[in-house]
Amino acid sequence: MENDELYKDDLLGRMIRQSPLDSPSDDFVGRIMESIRETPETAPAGKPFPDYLKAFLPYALVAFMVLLVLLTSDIPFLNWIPGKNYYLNILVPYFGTLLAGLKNVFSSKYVSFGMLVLASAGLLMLIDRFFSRKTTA
Amino acid sequence: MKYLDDNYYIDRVLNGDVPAYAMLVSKHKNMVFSIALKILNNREDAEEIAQDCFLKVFQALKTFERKSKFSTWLYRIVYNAAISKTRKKRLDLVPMDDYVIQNFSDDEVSQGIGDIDPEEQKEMIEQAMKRLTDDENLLITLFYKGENSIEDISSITGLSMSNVKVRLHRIRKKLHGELAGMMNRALN
Repeated sequence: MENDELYKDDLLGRMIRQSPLDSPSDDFVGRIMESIRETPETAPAGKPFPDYLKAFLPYALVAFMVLLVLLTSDIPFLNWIPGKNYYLNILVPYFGTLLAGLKNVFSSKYVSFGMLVLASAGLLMLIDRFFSRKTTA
Repeated sequence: MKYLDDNYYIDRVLNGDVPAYAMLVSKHKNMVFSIALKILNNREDAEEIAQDCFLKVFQALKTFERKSKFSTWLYRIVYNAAISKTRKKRLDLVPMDDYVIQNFSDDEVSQGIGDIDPEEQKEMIEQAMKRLTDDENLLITLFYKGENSIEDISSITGLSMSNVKVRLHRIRKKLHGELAGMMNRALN
């Protein structure tokens, strides 16, 4: 019994099609469009945020590579940066002193191990939260 | 009102023209409402389900992969939502045998009905359709009024294609029986 064969009973089909479908109330379409306007965050247009980040990733990698090459080269490209001397002569020694104070803390293998575990767990949680975010409805 | 292809409106909505969605709603509201009504048997519930489904579909429009017709996708969502609402069993897979199919010739019935004026035909078919069960009404509505194919109906209801075919065949027989009965009563 093919589809066409069922349609063969043209009179019955025509008669059924003559009787109208049930209709919802008159303001049905208006109410739906109103609900859509009231919840603009449900709009289907636009990509979810993680998609933008994923699209940005290749550019970030290229920028990182360029920066790496420049930083490891002998090209004096950093000379023009304003405040470079302040950074090198004051901030770097200051942070050096600060970190030296923390050196004792890190010299304990228990503390170092604990911090390593915490940092790893935190990083894994962040990665999990970021990638398990739903991108489709 | 003449409507354009569903994909035209979908593209417009996805490109940010949200009001274009009103055309999609307008185009499909009667069929969506009819599906819900035939399952729920209550106008208010059917309207609520239909409205919810149109909102859900709007939100999920970007995930519509266009592997099937938009209408099939939409009707399947409505069908599932209405079924969930009633906690009703899906359409039985066992063919129905709870009515007697009268022994008559389809051609005779068609010929007899063909002589009746269209207004009376409309009244007769409406009466005959009232004698169908809700499930039968739903299938016949999807097939004839929604002009869905057997495959579409199978996809919407979850029934196998062969089951849809058997059911439609039997519903047609049943309708013929009802119409023949009406004609006999009118003649006697």
